[in-house]
Amino acid sequence: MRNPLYRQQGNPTRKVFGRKDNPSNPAAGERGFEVFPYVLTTSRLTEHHTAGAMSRMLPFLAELQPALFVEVSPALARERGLTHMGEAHVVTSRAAVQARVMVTERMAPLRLDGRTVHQVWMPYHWGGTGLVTGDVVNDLFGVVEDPNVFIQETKVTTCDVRPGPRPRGAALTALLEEVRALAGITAATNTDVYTGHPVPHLDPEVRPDDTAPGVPR
Amino acid sequence: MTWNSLFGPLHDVAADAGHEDPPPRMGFFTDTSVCIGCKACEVACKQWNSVPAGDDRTGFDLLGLSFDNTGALGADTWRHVAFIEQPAVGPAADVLAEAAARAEPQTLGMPSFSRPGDGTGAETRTDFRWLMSSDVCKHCTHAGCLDVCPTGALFRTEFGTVVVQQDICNGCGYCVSGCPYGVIDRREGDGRAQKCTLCYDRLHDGLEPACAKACPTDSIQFGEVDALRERADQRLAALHERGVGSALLYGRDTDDGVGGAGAFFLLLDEPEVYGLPPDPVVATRDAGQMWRRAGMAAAAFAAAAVGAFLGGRR
Repeated sequence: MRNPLYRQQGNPTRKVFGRKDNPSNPAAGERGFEVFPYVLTTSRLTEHHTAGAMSRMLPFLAELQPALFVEVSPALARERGLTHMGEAHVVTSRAAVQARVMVTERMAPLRLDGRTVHQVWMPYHWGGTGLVTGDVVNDLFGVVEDPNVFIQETKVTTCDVRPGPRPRGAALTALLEEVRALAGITAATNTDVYTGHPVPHLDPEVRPDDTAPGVPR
Repeated sequence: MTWNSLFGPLHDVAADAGHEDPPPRMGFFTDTSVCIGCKACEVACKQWNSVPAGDDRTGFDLLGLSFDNTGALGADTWRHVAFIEQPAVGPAADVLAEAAARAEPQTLGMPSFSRPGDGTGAETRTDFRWLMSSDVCKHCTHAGCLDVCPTGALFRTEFGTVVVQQDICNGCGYCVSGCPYGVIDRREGDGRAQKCTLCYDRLHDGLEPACAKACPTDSIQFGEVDALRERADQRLAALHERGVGSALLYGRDTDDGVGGAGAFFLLLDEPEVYGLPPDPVVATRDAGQMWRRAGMAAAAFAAAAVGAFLGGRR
């Protein structure tokens, strides 16, 4: 949903990279937004260290969290035909990642702006090496950086969840082309950093006394 | 041998087992109300005791039991952290369900003034609750595994704990069926019985067991059983006073089916919720009666045989 308090919807100083190989999902309210109807957040598990490159090599830690999974609510599982411990793949404009399904009451759907918004959650500790392997969750996120120290934004995005294993090779590329076309995504999508009212101290045309921030002229 | 060494309360288990002037009985008090589910105990246990990773039943597999991928205690799992998810069922859950039915905006999951799980029962629970509990061998006062062991591989240590000697165990498996908790198990491909030793080697050097040492919240407390029982009683009273009426002690009662456990627990729900047997009884409780009945049956057969010969003369 859009922020009702401000017209500026995101950090106006963030660094964006409008490239064909770095697509972004459409923002809320934009065309094609419905292609990625769910909110995806990621975080850590106690048992693994960051991307898991070290902890996936340690048998005592690897056995405690042995596979990548995606947590969904029972309602979302019904909606998308997902089965507990079955395979599913999470799709964004950038990548598709395969994971086992964990159906849990913990992932409560939210009611935002009059509609039910399902959220899904994934840990991000897997990769192609180690005693336990899995897809790289951070592949799902486009590169957008904060303006101070250029840390990429890899915690939350919108996504779609589909049952079954993800396609591989050329079929995976075709799937991503398909969802991008469906959502009308180009290299320019979501690179429009400035969405609000002119900010006096950033805009030489606007004198500070002219207007208060956030009030339309 | 007194009947007391097979069943019922027994204060000095080590002396009962023949140790002369033994040190105090040592054990665990696991306070699950402060367990955060970090599994440090599982890792520390495996590391110290060289227990192989990749449990022979579950391997490196996702079990789908919340964040628990260990499943149960066994030959390759001497500490097991259970994760039990309990959804909200109290008034707040009803409010959410009603709101969903009316399709009206509601505040969901915003910070509230009561912490999840503070309520005294399911009917008052207003938020999702996660129960975490680190399970371990109970080191029973009357150990079913030890009493049925035919080789003497299982023995009672001077600390009152129960330990398997791998060089003596012949893998017969009587102990597996003898344990009322399903703790001890035989290792796949090896055949010998394995279970928690309460870190017998560390105890000799005056160290606490690896799991208790690693526990960051002191959920696992190690010490003299008498002192731990006192501490458990105080903790239970404190929780009850604060309104956590569902808190209970498991394995603390010396009159229970195993004569009280050397490793006992403070639980926030019924034992069954955690996958623990509600009323474990050591098989040897009925040993005396079984022998008496067997004796009576033998006497009856003998009498019948004598009667048959006497009757034949008539």
